[in-house]
Amino acid sequence: MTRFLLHRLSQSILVILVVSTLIFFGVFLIGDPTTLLIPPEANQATVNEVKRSLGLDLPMHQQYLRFLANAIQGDLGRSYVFRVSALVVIFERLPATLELAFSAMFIAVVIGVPLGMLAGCYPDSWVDRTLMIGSTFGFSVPTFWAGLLFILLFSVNLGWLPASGRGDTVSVYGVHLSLLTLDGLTHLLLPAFNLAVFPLAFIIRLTRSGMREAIGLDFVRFALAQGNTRWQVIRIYVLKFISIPIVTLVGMYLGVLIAFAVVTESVYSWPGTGKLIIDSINVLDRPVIIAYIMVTVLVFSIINLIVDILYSVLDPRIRTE
Amino acid sequence: MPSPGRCTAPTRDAAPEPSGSEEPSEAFRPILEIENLSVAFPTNYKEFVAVKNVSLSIRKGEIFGIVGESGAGKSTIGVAIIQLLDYPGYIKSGSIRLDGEELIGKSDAELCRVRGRQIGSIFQDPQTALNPVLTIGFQLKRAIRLSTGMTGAQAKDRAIDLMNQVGIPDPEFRLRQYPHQFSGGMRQRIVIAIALSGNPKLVIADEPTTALDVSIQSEILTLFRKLCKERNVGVILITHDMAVINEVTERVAIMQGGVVVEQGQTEHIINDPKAPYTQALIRAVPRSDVKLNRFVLWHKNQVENEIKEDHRAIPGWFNSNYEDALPDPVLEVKNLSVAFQSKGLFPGRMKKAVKAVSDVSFQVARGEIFGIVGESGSGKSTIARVLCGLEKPNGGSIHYKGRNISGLLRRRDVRQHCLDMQMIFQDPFSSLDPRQSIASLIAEPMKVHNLVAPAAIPGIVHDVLERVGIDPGSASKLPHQFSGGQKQRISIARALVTRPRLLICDEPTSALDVSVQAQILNLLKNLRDDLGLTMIFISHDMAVIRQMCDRVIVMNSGVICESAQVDELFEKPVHAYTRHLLRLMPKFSLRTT
Amino acid sequence: MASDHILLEPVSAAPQGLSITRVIAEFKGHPLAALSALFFLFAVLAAIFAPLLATQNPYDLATLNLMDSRLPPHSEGMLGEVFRLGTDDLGRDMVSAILYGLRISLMVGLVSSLVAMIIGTIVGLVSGYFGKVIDSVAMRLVDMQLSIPAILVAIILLAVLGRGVEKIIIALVTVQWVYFARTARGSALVETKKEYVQACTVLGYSHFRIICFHILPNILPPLTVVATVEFAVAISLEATLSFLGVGLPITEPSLGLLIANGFAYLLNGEYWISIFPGITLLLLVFSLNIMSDYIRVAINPRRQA
Repeated sequence: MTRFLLHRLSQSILVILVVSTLIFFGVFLIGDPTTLLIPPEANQATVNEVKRSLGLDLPMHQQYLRFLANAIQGDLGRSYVFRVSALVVIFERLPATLELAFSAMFIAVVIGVPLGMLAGCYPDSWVDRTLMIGSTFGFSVPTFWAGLLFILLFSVNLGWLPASGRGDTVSVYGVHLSLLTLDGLTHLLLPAFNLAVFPLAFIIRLTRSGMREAIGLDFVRFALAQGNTRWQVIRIYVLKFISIPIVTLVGMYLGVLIAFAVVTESVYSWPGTGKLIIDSINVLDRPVIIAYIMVTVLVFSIINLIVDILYSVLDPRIRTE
Repeated sequence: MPSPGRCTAPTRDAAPEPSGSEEPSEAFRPILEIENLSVAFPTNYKEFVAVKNVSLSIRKGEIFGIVGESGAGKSTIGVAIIQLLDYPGYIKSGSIRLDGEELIGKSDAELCRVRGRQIGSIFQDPQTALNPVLTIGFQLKRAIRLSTGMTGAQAKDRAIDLMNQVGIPDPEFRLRQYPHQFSGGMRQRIVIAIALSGNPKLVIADEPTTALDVSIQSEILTLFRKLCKERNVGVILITHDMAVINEVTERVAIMQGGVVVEQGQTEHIINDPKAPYTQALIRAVPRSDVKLNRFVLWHKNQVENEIKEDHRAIPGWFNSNYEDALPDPVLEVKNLSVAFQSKGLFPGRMKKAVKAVSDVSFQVARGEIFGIVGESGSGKSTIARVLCGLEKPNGGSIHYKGRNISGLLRRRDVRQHCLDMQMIFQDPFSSLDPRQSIASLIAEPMKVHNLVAPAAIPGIVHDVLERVGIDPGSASKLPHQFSGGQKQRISIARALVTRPRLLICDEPTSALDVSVQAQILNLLKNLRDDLGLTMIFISHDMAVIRQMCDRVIVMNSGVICESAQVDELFEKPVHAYTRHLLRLMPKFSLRTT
Repeated sequence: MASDHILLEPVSAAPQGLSITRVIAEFKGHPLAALSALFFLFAVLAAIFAPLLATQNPYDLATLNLMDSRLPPHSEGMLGEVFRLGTDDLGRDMVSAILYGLRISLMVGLVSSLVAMIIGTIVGLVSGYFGKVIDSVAMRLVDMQLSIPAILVAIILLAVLGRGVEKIIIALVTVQWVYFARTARGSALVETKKEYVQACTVLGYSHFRIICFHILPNILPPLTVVATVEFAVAISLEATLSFLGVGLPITEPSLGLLIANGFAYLLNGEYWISIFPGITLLLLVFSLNIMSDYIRVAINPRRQA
């Protein structure tokens, strides 16, 4: 087990290294940020001064080594725009994104799993068909467009919920959460539901197909032959069986949601890391871009790792091997 | 679609006399009475009637067999009794009475009380019958609770008691384990424990030993029989294996195409069958006591895609290769060793080397059928795969037609030399490319290797199909339109077009019904005679080996235990393992009355 | 292990018979599937013949009249023409804009998923058939890429490459090839173990022959399902990226960009600039996804009657 952990860990580190290298050199290709930071009429001396202060006057490989050395110590450079450590900029905004992603996933699971089970229990019924078409519709709608429609309906026409921004926050162990305030919740509702549409559709289908497959298996027939009612078979035998793959896939999707929140954050002006990256790309704030990518890859790798561990713990066939 | 059988079901026990016992008529009260049962499956086109007007009665405490080949409807009856038919199947007509109580028409809730409590069920594959993510203890205790109402400590005690009865050591510890931590035989014991947990009146066992290793089958059958007799439980034993029927059942019903062809005392049916189908079925079972020249076959009505094998269809092109002189022995294997690296589950884990074949040597003489017999894991299939070039040996040498082929490294060189060494595989369902018509499948080897002018190919395909008994008119059909036996014939035809001198048959009939097996084995023998083929025949079935082979080697865990002429091996076995195998072989010997 | 493509439910190839006949039968039997196929065909034709069907060329700035901007549907323009779906902020006829947008969306989606399919299938086939070292290396690469969210990969690439049609195609291909590779490899592994492939080996066929003529035709059904799904994903993803501002440039407006363009006007009540391209995009992606659902069901062997 520990060997497996070590292997996955090393793989994650490898990915982060490769990605950071690619990004570092790739970002170089985007362009020279100095041109964006200083007015065009400035003389060469000023330009050189700015370059030197940002460390851009050194040759590329030296910049890279410096970057690596700093990165290991936790310093990923200072944002050109915000003038503070890029990591700080990211971590300030990360809670907002995580809040959004977790809320969306929560909604998707709470609504999606029961619906999917329903569809799986009554295959080819009208419930099943409706849910299938509905879920297909769900992941056909581009998230940003659905977001626009939500705003149109709930904010502009009905006026129930605010169209943008994050509400009041409360500090919990130093992390600012808006979930716990009423104002925060009303601001969270629309973007969370918007982000939830995609995973909801996916979870319905996943649960449904898992259910359908499980019901066709021999152990279901054997359980029925022992005198269990249909409902007992589902509750006692099938549920545990399908929960394992569902839990692991849902966990993985959480990582994707954190990245995909970019879209919802843009639509609703949600002050998370997604909005940050888009803005940073537009102004070529290189340290922030690099820091964002590395943090996201790290978070994603950690989630994948946790999910893999969870899978091997939950599934007795692997746990007891 | 099986051809329609006879509609009348002659019963052979009109007078309810016990065979040798003086028990009162109470013992012969039927525990289950099936009257005119019909089960149908509606499809898009028409209704498929799987079971037609079947009437059976099973007495209290007796073991009743239902035997038939695939598609006979025997499993459907078992499932219909507890009314767990796969959608859209339904019971069309008839009555099923358990101890006088009519089962058809009961509500689902009432049926739940019958299942498990009054009728226990055992299915074929214990690996899939048990839920893989729940402990054995949980599943067993749940079954106990459903069938007896016991919970908690009481249920646990009963579970341990049952485990002891079915012969699982250290039950208290084992209850906390999961199904995958048990062997196949142990899993089936647990399934039996579950089925018997509530002391049911009737147990339905559907192919209870088919998925198990031969050496385990006998143990499980004995245990099952003992437990059922102790509890005076009525048993319906559904199987395709005549030997099992012979050993265990008291009365039997023979089914074909959804109809009961014949039923009565097992002894009478086997030794003096009246219905032609039964006679043919019994004759098709490979006998282990004497080697017959050919199986005597039952000639059915015209079957789709098939024609009678045409012995004359051996065109000149085929014969031309067979006129070359062939060295004797054709194949010489010396000190062959094959070892596999078992992949650890996680990379980096130390890989274990598994020796599949260790220091094996044998020779195959010209024109003989050489047998290799052993259980699964003995290494027999590995030898076949090495000979054909599918695996690489780690040591030893292989001389084919006098030439050393084990030294050749490049795959293409090996294949060129061995093109006349062909293989027939075991699984007819995956041995043909599902997307190619059979004409194209058979023509391909000739095209790829430029064996013959393109213009001559269709003619050769036509002739070879006729030779193996497939209607050449079906040549443009796809493999899925043929039955299992027909697919094997097509595989043989494909192997023949390369004009092989050595044909390796790796369990070619293990996946086929007994009557179809007889046909294919006859075909192989005919081909050997007509074309002068040399064959290596691999099987786990001792009786089939006896019928087919001239000389045999017995393998166990990668090593040859014994090597002898076939009759000698069976009558005077030398090695302990050979004797072990012969002892475990299900006996199907016809008593001469 | 747990890192399979999240949008895919297990797809298995039919072991018997030709799938194409079953797909056609399935479509004939279900009106929704047939309808989706028809709509998709209609959309493709409309896109191909856009120059003939559109009343004006939305790229040709000379033909646009700023006085006609932001007119609601069914209004009359300066030159007397009727704008059935209104005009956008530059005076572009929405119908024409949508037709041309459709063209770009479809073209980008088709090219990127096709190229991704070719690359992914080759990698997956070779990986699954030969196994061992090739398989380890290839799958390690795939796993590494899968450990970064797709949208992030696209954003990074586009940040580096800049805007433009070829660049977005490159980004989409990079994101998508891994899903094809995974599916192709999985199916190839299964088929390689089957006895007909072993028979081909024993019959002396070359690796090339076995891969191209025997394995590839048998893994096409699940690949087709993936292809239709990925086609839809490509169209959708390109729209999203354009909306975020990293996709296509304003000179080549795809449907996504048209929607993004009209976002600002949505809150003013000038819904038609954003909604109509949105509906078109939605229907396009929806019809593709419906088709992939029915194809998946049709090729599933367990659905044999």
